Amino acid sequence: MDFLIIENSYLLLTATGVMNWFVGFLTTFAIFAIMALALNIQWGFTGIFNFGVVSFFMVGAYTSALFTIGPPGEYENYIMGFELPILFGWFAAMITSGIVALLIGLPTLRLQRDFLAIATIGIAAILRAVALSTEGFVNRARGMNGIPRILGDVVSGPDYKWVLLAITLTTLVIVYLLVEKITASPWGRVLRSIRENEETTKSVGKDTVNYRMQAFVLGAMIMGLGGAIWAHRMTSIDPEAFNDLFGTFLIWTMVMVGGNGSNKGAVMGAFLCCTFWFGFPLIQESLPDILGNKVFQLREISIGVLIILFLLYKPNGVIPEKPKISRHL
Amino acid sequence: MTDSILNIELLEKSFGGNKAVDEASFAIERGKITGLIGPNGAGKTTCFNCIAGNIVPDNGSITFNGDDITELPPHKIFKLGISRTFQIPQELTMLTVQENLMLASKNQLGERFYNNWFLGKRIGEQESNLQSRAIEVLSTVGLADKALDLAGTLSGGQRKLLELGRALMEEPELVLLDEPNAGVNPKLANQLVAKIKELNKTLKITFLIIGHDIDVVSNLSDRLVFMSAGKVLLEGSPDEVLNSSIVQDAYLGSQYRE
Ligand SMILES: Nc1ncnc2c1ncn2[C@@H]1O[C@H](COP(=O)(O)OP(=O)(O)OP(=O)(O)O)[C@@H](O)[C@H]1O
Ligand SMILES: [Mg+2]
Repeated sequence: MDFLIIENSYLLLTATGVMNWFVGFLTTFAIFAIMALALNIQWGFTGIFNFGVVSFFMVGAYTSALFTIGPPGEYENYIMGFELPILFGWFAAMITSGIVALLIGLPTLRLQRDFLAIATIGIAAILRAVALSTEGFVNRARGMNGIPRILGDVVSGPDYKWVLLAITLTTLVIVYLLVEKITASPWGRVLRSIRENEETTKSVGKDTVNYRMQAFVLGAMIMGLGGAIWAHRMTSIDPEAFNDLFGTFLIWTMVMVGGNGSNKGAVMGAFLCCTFWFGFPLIQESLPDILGNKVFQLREISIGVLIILFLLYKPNGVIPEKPKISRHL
Repeated sequence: MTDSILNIELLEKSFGGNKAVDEASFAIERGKITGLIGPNGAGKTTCFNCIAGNIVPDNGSITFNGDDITELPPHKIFKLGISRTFQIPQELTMLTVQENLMLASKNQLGERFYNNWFLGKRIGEQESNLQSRAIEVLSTVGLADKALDLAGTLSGGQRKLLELGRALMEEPELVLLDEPNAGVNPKLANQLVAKIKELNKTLKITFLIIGHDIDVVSNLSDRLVFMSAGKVLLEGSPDEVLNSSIVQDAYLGSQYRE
């Protein structure tokens, strides 16, 4: 699996190994960039605290898997398994994530901002627990295995990685262009003004709760899409893999490093953070054993330090929000 | 019978044990400029917040054009035709000055999510009209050359002017101005007074203005409402109100006595 390749440094010893690593890395980056663009709509533009990004990542991944995978085998136990086309799975993933966001948002978005933050943290834990403990739902801890690959029946063998890379990068470009278009509109202006001052925005006639809901749901749908692509890329997923560090914290880091409210920044932030996160284990060989054995723990500590440095010295990110945003003027 | 646009009846609002507004009743006549005066902490701004929907009163009623608006949220009250400024400017820091104003326009096609995918051209036209309108309003408040700066870079006085500009963007029926002249230089303040009078004459916009500058407020206003400790103690023509002994003792101080 190419994701594991990029987490293992010894495979970098040959030229093919280096290329495989790089292709896998770029595929991962593209999916994370989609997630970062989604969070940027919620947090960067609207100021919504979503600390449960991983929930929508997970909902999207499982939904697309359940719609496209075959019926459960002898030792498996999950619902659906409709073997539908993957595009349908993506679509279902976006809709389901959107509905989950709506259900979380309805009781919490009209309250103070912190309530949503707490609710989203809770939901992520609940979803994982439900996936792990409900018999006959998503195959519990064994996870979903044999999720079909995108165009997997058309291309196979060593060339497949290029097809996957092309598809994820194309999806990223499309998502980027659509997000850029909608955020540079009067609609996006209302979102930014809510982020700046919700009371003023109400006082000039905007139903801010409604707009926050729109931004929350739209972001969640795009996160669901990211999750769906992830599922088909990994071909197997399990609840433990969707942890907060990987699925929420890392994506928040991308948006903060890139620059809140800047779509280019979100993509750049995703690139920088992926480089750091997946590149870091590669230094294992050159570290003394005592540190090399702990390279993943070292990585977590280092990214924490990096975030603090960024917040102190580059609070607006590497590509800050531009003053002129509207595409109409 | 006078034609009143806004009726406030027995309005009450407490913060903890502190009665900020205490059974206040007054009416605002359509097409007139009314001044709301009173000592610091009298409850003037709290009245504004109740009228504009930013806070919900504990008791009492507010009717606008005969409709009860007491419990309506701010965005609905704005859409009915009441706009307001804040005493402490509440600008949108990371938006340009021009965008701060453009935001305050009703019925923008581009504010609906789905319109943006289909009506790009019409939204573009609407946006450039809106921009011209914003520049026009910015010139009247003396901020035209700041149009493209971020609102967060304005000085304190300029932020007050931006507040005023935002409230005038839509040509509403009723405008609530909370100390519009505070911190604004005298020359510009005079221009603003003239502008408010002109808008009142030509467009028949009704104004309710809070101010501590008695010369300005009495010059501007057709009527004055005097509040103290949450209560409306007096209403009437500027002469009547300012010459009453209550107002002189509680608010103006001895130098105003003739
Ligand atoms: N949000 C709030 N929380 C608690 N107390 C408040 C709040 N807003 C106002 N008050 C209190 O209500 C009273 C009236 O305040 P308000 O702002 O209405 O006065 P004001 O007449 O506008 O005074 P000024 O001329 O100084 O602006 C004051 O005693 C104030 O402390
Ligand atoms: Mg006040």
